[in-house]
Amino acid sequence: MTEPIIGIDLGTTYSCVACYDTKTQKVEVIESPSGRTMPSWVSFTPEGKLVGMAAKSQVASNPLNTVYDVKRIIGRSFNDPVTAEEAKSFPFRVVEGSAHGEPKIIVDWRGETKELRPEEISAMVLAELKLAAERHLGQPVKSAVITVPAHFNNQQRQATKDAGRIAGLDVKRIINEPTAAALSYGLHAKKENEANGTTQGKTNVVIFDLGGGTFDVSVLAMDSGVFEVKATGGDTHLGGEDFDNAIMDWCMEHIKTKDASVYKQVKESARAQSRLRRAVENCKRVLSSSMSAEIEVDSLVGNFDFVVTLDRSKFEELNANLFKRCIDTVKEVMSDAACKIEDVSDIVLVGGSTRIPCLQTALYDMFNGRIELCKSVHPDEAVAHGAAVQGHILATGGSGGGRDLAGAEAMTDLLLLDVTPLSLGIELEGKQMSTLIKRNTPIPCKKTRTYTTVDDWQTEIDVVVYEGERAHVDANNKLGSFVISGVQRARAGEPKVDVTFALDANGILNVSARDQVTNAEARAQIKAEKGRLTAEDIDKMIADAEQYRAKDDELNEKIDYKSALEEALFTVQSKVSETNKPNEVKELADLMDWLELDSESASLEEMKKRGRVIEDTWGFIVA
Amino acid sequence: MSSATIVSEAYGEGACLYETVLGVSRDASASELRKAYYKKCLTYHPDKLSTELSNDDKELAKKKFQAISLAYAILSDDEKRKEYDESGELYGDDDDFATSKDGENPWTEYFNNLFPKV
Repeated sequence: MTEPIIGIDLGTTYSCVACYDTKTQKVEVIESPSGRTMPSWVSFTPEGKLVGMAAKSQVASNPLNTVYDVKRIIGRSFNDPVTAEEAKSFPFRVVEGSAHGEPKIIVDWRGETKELRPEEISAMVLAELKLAAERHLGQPVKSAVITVPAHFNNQQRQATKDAGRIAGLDVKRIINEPTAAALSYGLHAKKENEANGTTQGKTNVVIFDLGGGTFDVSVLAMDSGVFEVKATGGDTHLGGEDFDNAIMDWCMEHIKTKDASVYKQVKESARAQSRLRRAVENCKRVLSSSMSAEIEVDSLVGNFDFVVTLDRSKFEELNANLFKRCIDTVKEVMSDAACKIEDVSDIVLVGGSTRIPCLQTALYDMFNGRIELCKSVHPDEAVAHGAAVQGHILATGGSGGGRDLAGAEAMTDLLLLDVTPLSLGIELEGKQMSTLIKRNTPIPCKKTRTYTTVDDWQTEIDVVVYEGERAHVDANNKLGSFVISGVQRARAGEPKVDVTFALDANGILNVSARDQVTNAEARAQIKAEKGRLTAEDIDKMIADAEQYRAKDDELNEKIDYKSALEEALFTVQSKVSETNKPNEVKELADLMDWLELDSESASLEEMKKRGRVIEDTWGFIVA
Repeated sequence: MSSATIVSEAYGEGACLYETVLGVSRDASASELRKAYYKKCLTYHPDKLSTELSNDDKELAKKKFQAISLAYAILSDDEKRKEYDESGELYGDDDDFATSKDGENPWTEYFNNLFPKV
C-alpha cells in the first residue's frame, strides 16, 4: 500500500484537512473534533494547550494567551511593517527574537513564560489536523501537501514548510491555494460532464479565492487531465478580517460619540475587544443573507450594553475600497494571463468571504453577466480537497498518478503545471533588477544569462538574488547572495559570466555562476536569509513538541474523563432520587461537591478513584 | 546556456521544435500545439516520472521537460513562432534586457557611463 499524503489548507482563520481514502477511493474532507474546518487558533493555559474551536471559544477569558492569525506574520521579520501593524492589533504580545530579528509570541504556558515562533504555532495547528487524519485513516501519516496563498514569497513558503516539519510532517509540496481549488473544481466539472455525456474541451477558469486573511486570483486552462496555471496574483493581506476591522472601527466611532470614557475602557480591554469582534464577525455573516443585522454585546464594559444595527448598504460603503481592490486584481491577473473576458468559461468562488453578495454582483457584472458564478465546489473545503488530490497524484507518482481519480475517463493522468508567482533575478550595477525568470513561468524551469564586470581587473562578482516585480532591487525581496571569485582578469565589460537560475517543482531556487573563460564556478541553494530556522532549531522544536504532546494527551484524557464523570453522576442522580437511600444520597453529594470544587487541580488518578467509587456503589462504569 | 543549448542538450543539435520536441507538424494549430504540449508534460514532468528511473534518465527527462516548455513558450506566441519559422533558429531571449521595466534602456545607461557628460 502506498503511504498516504494528506492535503492541508492552513488558513489564516480556519484550516481544513483532506485525504484520499483507499476504502472509498475518494478524496474526503476529514472531520476534526472542531468540525470539518478548524479555527487556526491555539490557546495556552497553566495546564496545557488547546487547539481549534476549544481555543477560540475560550478567548474572552484568556485573551493574552490565545494566539490566532499567525499566518499574517509567518515568514516575515519583526521589522517588516506588516508585522508591526499586526502586532499592534493582536491582544497577545509579539516581540523581536534575539537571534535573527524574527517575531516571537510571548505566552504563559504551564506556569512558564514561553517565546514561540509563528512556525511553532502553525505546527500545533498542523499537528492537530495530522492527528485527525491518523484517526480517520487508522494509520500513521508522515507526509502532506500544504497550501499557501499564491502571493506568498520564498520566506513565507519556507516558513510554512518548517512548520510542517516541526509537526512531524514531510512536506512533499507547497501548492498555491487557488491552484488547489482549481484541481478540486476540475475533477468536479469533469465528473459532471461525464454524467451529462458532454465532452469537455479546453476551459479557461478564473479562481477567485477570498478567505479570512488573504486574497488570490488565478487563471487556469484545463484540458485532458492537465491543469495549466496561466497566471496568478493577489494580495497577502486582504480578507474577511479586514471587513471585520472596518466594522470594528465603525462600532468604536459609534461608542466614542456616545460615551468617551466607555470608549477608552473598551480600547484598553482585550476582553471587550474580542467580544465585540465576535459579534461583528457574526453580523457580517448575517449580512450575506439579510439586509440588516444587529451587533449586540451585553455589559461590554461595566454595565454598558452595546447594541447597534448595521445594514447591508452601510457595510458595503465601509468596505467599498477593499471590494474595488479585489476586482482590480482580477483584471491584472487576466491581463497577465493574456486571457480575454470572453475566453473565460467559468468563475469559481472559493473562501468564506465570497459569500458577500456585492462581490458576487461585481464579478458577475465584470464578465458582462455572461457566465454564472460557479458555487459547486464547497467554498471552505475546496482548497484542502485539491491539496489532497495533489497529494494523491504525488503518492501514486510515476505514470498513472491520479488516474483513479479521473473517474470514467481512466485513460488520462492528472498533472498540475504550476507557475512561479514572483519574478526572480539578480542585482545589477545601480541597484537595477535584472530578471532571469519572469513571474508566471511554468516550473520546473531553468534560465541562463551572461553578465560582465563593471570595473577593470575585477576578479570577483557579488551575485545578489532577489524576487519581485520592481525595477529597483530595494523594493524587492532579497533572497540571498554569494560571491564568484576567479573571474577572468580583464578590462571592465570583457569577462563573460553565465548566471543560471534553476527552479524545481517545489519552487526551490538553485543559482550558479560560471566564468566562460576561466571556468571558475560558484553556486548556492537559495533559502530565505533572515530568520530562517536552522536544522538544530527545528530539531529542538520537534523535541519540545514531542515532550509536551504526552502532557497534552494527558490533559485531553483528563478533560474527557471529567466529562464522563459528570455524565455518570447525572445518570446516578436520577437513580438515587428514586431509591432515596440516605448513604447513597450523601455519597453522591460528596462526589458532586468534589467535582465542582476540587476537580480542577486534581490528577487523572484522583479522578479515576472517584470513578471507581461510582462503579462500586452503583455498578455504573465511567469511561 | 541559451535557448538553443537547452533544446540541443535534450534533443540533439538543431532539433526541430515542431517535429522532434513537441511531435507535431509544422502547420499545427494553436490547439494542436497545446494538446501536444500537455501530452509531453504528462510524460516528462518530474511528478510523472517513475521512481525506478536511473538518475541519468531523470536528468535527461528534466532537460526534455525544459526544452518542451521552451518550445511551447515560443510556438504559442505568434510573433516568436513566426520568427522561428523564418529563421529556423533560436535566438537568445534577452528581450527584457533591451528595455528594462522602468522603460529605460540599460544600453543608454551603459554608454552614458562610458562617456560621462562633460
